[in-house]
Amino acid sequence: MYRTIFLEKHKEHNAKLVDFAGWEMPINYPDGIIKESNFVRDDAGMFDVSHMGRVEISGKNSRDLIQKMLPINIDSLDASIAKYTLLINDKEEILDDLIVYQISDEKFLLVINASNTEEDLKWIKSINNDSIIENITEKTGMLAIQGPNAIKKINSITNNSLANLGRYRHKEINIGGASVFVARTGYTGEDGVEIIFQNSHANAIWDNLHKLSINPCGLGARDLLRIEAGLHLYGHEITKESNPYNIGLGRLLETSSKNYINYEYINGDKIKEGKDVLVGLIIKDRGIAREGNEIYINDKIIGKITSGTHSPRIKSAIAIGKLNKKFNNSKNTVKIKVREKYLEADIIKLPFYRRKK
Amino acid sequence: MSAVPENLKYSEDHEWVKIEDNVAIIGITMHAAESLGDIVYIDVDSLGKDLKQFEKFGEIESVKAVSDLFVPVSGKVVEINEELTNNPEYVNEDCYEKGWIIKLEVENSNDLEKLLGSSDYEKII
Repeated sequence: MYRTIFLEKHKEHNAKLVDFAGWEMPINYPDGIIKESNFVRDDAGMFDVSHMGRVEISGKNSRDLIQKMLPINIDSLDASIAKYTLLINDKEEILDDLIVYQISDEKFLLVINASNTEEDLKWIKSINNDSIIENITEKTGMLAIQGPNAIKKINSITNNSLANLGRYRHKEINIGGASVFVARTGYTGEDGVEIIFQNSHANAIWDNLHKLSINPCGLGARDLLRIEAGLHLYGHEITKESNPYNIGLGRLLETSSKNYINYEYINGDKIKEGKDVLVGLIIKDRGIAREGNEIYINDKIIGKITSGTHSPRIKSAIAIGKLNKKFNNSKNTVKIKVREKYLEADIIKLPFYRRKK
Repeated sequence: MSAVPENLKYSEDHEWVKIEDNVAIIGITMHAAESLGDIVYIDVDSLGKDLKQFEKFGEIESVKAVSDLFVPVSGKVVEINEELTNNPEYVNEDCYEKGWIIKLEVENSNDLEKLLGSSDYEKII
């Protein structure tokens, strides 16, 4: 199994460790998923996300490779911007969702899902144009620091370094002598940052953050928080076969460049004929709807659950479901088949939780 | 290391039972509660129902998973811990006292012979 640079830290904090996409990762610490999710909503928490793939693409043709590979409007990138996008291959299959960061005129960073790293790299190398493609996952660490007090806390030990950093912007800062790449991004619905650094700095950075009462949180809390925030997870809301318009991601297909490898696919008619939609479901009965459970209206199957959990904010079970657009009406009450029971649920527009600005 | 009190009997399905005046008080062990993580729903059979030893009597659901509950002894349901409806976290916080789940009127005290003592239970967790 792969190990992140923080495995010993997780053990010191008595984490429950699980196999996640081949990585030995903390699902939760002794506080448990609900309390950890509260740290993030009420104060600040940190997540080891070093398992996520980090790939640098550089060289004089790197900008062209990014334009060929991703459906983004390349002119909207500059050397401080990060962008959420999709990696789609020439078979119209979504290989991943990712964040691309432009580092300099001739250098880009992709942060991709752990479970997809190998396949993504294979595809990117197959369309390479003499750019340098380097997987830096194993020589770097990555932490997400999330919560309403995250920025304030980091500012307090970095000479206010994040004061002018906008959402989806990135820069280099210094934490206790270590040079750190920091982006104002996240996966929890809270304000916060994701940071990347050389492995040799990892323990010192963890200790510096922990001293600020930023508690470690596991993948269980991360999943709960992203479901509340209505954020997609590859393998659940996004699959290889997904039509981006069916899962609320049509807006990501923004390029008008013919150099994009899927220019014809994203500008064709077929893709716009999406019949499905992702919705939020608030379960009114007792029980959690989970991935794969069928959604019914009047004994007719209209969709399936893609993710489900219990929300301490909503104080009931919540789920994300993919259903036929025709039935997407908040006046509809649906039933979700969970084992032998049918749970009643209300349809809402995602997300379940939106932070106060 | 999860606590395994010496004065209780245990099933291999991770329920504990304590007999007081012919009434069996039943819950899940700390090992089970820790494996499940944050518990959010506990649904059990109704009062008056007769249950056979190791028969399913309900479900316990955490943020991560759902698990069946089995009675470690046979008997009639005489009390359900109603507190758990609104405070399922009692099972995580105090599984052997505040977090008890159900009480049965014991039919046959020989049922206990099929259960594990604390030291044998410790060996399987």
